[in-house]
Amino acid sequence: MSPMELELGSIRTEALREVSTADNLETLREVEVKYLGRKGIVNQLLKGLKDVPPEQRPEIGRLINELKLELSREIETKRTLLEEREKVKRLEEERLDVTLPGITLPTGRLHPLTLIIERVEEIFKGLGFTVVEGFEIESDYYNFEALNIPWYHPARDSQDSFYITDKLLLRTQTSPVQIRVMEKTRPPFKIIAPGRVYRRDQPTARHSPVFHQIEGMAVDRDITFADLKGTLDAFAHALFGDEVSTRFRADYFPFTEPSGEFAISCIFCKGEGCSVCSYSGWIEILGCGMVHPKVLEVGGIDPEEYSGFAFGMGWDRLAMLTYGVNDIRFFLENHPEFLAQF
Amino acid sequence: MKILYSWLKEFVDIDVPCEEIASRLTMAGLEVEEFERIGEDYLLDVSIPANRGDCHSILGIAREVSALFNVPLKLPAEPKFLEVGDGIDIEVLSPELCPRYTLRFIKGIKVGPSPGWLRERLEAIGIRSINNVVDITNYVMWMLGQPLHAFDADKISGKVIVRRAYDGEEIVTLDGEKRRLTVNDLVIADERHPIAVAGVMGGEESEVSFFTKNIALESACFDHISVRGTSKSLGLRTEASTRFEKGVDIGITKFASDIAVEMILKLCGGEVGRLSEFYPVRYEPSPIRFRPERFNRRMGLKLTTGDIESVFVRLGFKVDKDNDIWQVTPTSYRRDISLEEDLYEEIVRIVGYDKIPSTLHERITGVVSPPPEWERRKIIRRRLNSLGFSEVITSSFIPVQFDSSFGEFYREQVESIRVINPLREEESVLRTLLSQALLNLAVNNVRWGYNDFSLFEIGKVFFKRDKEYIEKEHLGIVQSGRFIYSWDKEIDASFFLLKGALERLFNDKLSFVPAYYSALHPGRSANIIYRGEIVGFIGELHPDMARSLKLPRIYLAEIDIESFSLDFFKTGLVREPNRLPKLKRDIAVVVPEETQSIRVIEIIREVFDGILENYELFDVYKGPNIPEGMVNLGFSLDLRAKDRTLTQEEVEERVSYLKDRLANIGGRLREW
Repeated sequence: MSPMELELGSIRTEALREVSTADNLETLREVEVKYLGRKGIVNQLLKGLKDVPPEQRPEIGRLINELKLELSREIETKRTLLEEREKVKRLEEERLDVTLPGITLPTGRLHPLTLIIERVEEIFKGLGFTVVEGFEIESDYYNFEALNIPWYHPARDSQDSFYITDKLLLRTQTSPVQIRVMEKTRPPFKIIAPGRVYRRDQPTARHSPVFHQIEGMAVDRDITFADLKGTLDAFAHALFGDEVSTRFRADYFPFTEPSGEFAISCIFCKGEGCSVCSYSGWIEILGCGMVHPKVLEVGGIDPEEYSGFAFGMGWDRLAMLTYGVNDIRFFLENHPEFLAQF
Repeated sequence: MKILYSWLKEFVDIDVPCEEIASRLTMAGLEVEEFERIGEDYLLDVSIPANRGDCHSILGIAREVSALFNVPLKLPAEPKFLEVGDGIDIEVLSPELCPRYTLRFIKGIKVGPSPGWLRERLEAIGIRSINNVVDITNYVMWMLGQPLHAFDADKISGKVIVRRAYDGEEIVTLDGEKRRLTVNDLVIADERHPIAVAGVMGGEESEVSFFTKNIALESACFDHISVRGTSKSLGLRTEASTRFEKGVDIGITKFASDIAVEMILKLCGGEVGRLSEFYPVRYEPSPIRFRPERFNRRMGLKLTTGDIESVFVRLGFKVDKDNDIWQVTPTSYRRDISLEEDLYEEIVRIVGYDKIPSTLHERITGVVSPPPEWERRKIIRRRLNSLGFSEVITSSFIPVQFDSSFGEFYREQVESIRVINPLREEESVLRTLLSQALLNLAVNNVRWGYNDFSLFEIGKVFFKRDKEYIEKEHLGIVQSGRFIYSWDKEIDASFFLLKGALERLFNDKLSFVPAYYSALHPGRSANIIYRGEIVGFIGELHPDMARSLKLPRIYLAEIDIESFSLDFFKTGLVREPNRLPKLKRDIAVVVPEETQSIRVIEIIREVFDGILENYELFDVYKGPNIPEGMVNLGFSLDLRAKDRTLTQEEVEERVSYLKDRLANIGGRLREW
């Protein structure tokens, strides 16, 4: 063995040892530069080849190239190993306590009254109704007179009004919308009119001076009381479920004739009797009836040619029933804990 | 109206459980609100609708029961007694307010306590026993619905006159109150002065006492509108006025008086004098046209003419049939029935609403789309929800202390609207701005211990301008505390957080200019401009106001959303995505620190006009490396042309133009 071969042997041994002892990527890189770099030992050996006797050059050259290949392979293998080890270490360092709480982005919520009206609108839309709106500051004429409630009518007692002037008041019901719609629209039409109303009532769990109603009205040729029943039955079943039963009984409103009161079987006790339904098994939902001929006439509609039905319900009350709320004042109070539940 | 079952049964021949009577009455429109067992008897509390004055008596309810169950009514026998001696002269000067008046003189009676059975009955229905005479008048009123009044005849001077009061005339009523009357009030007077407020309450002076020997018993029919007006203006409601204002049966005036006389003779003794009566025009109910075919068509029913006629007969109505068009005459006590439709209600009420089928009217109607404001509101709600704001709905009334807060928003003279008859101070002023209500809510939230909130309301505001009452729809937002919070990251409410939400909500179409609001922080408030008009404001609540309300930093914004059409919020026609390469260019601008950043942004927009797709201000910096009095603004620009690939040269050309433009405002571009 020539001295050159012996030297190559010891370089190989040393290089392989250094590769195997390198315990991080940086040291490995240093080893790589030391042996395989541009000015590294292997290149030095190749440069020294010119001093080797010509007959030995092919053999020595082959050995140097073999060494180069072997070292490259070993370094690559080692690098893969070290990289894998470092990745494992990094992943370990990135470990999270997955039981820490998540970071929540704020999500806005809708008010329960909005949720209810959107549901009600959806149901009535399916029945061919559309939404209209009216004014909250109304004249005595639209709020009472035009609805067949003259100034001396006892029905005014239950609708004590907040007056702004002698003739202007905060509407006590959404029914003025009936007149305003008739003045603008020729039949046929089917509308619901949700809105805010005001009555001079002491605030209690059941009464609020500011509350909301949903008015409904349909006018066409040959609309019948049976159509009123069918419409309200469909509404009640869509909102409260197919299992509820419904009931119509006679009632009195100055602007409908005949008038009725619509009730559903108590959704809390299933009609057995509980405090919500005052142990009657029935919950009153709304007042309704066939539009009074005088009201149609006021609206410029001939009661011989056309007929119609109308209804009015407590919007807050629907929300109270739907969500089991027992104090109407919660809706305008907006307590964060209340609102967070919708 | 309290009804004793045993008393009711004296008037109607019925033998069904009381529960069933209660249930049928309720279904027919006379709601039995309470149902109570008293020993062997039952007490019903019936709610009488405003149009059913005829039901304010045992007789009235008995008539209903008779019609509903088709059982005979039992009327009391015609009273018989001997008239001896004189009466008291009467004179009715206002027949328009008193179509019928009777007065019966009874002398030599003995006033004393009522017998036990009478006292018990009155007490059961909630009436305090006074003496036998007064108790009898109350008893007959309850039984027949006719209010009666007994005067001490010896206190009456001369004849009895029914007339309007003189303005300012006074009377002390039975309750001891001095009442001041006007010409709109009807009184019963003697030749000196009023002795009773007609239909409402008697006078103290002529009250029947235990010393009374001779009485004058009044039974009359007063105009319902007049009694109601007097009762309201005096603030005095009595059992009598309640009945008169809903209308009492003009046909029963004398009969009721005679029944009472008979009872008085039996329980108090005495001799009956002549009846004085005024009843110039006898009331006859008018017949009403009724078309059975139209009835069935309107109700969706198929009742036979026989079914219909039988209902009328049960109600005591007279039917005159002439094939298709009938004439139906209601009874004298059913003054509520004047139209054909009123008769429809009677029929369905008696046969039962449950007999009407349930159908759907399916014709397509004329109006089909909701008003634009309805849709606009929905879009805004959804957008604000996704921006992290929750909806509230507050009262239209605001605490008086916030009456004029943020009022600088209105540049013309406006007044807040007050109700003239508030219940309480809290329900007297209508909000002119939602911010007033939201500020009040913020106070409550903090008081309840909730300091972090991001809330909005879409609602009406009210104001008066040039004698005109105006309602407008506004959007109000209030924000405070932490917006995003966790163990890791936090974002607090701030002017810019709120402004950012508005920019997103309104498609970056708003501009903001500093503005003065006395309730807002002077350095942190702005008007919101859209299309050159001030449409709202934004700002931090003034620290002085925050301190006095015990509030932390509160940010408020309010916008008149009627300034934005529905189309503004709706997605219009869309454009194709630009697939040409995008160039990113970051620039740092150094300008004098008093420069409004909007000026720099305007210059950038102008310089890169046509190729500026988007820009972001990512850094605002003052301090080392930046000259004193200057501020560094770092912008990241997204540049892209619509029709060509942008070259670096073109961009650099614009950047060098930017340098010139910045020099004009004392700024420069900072090289990296």
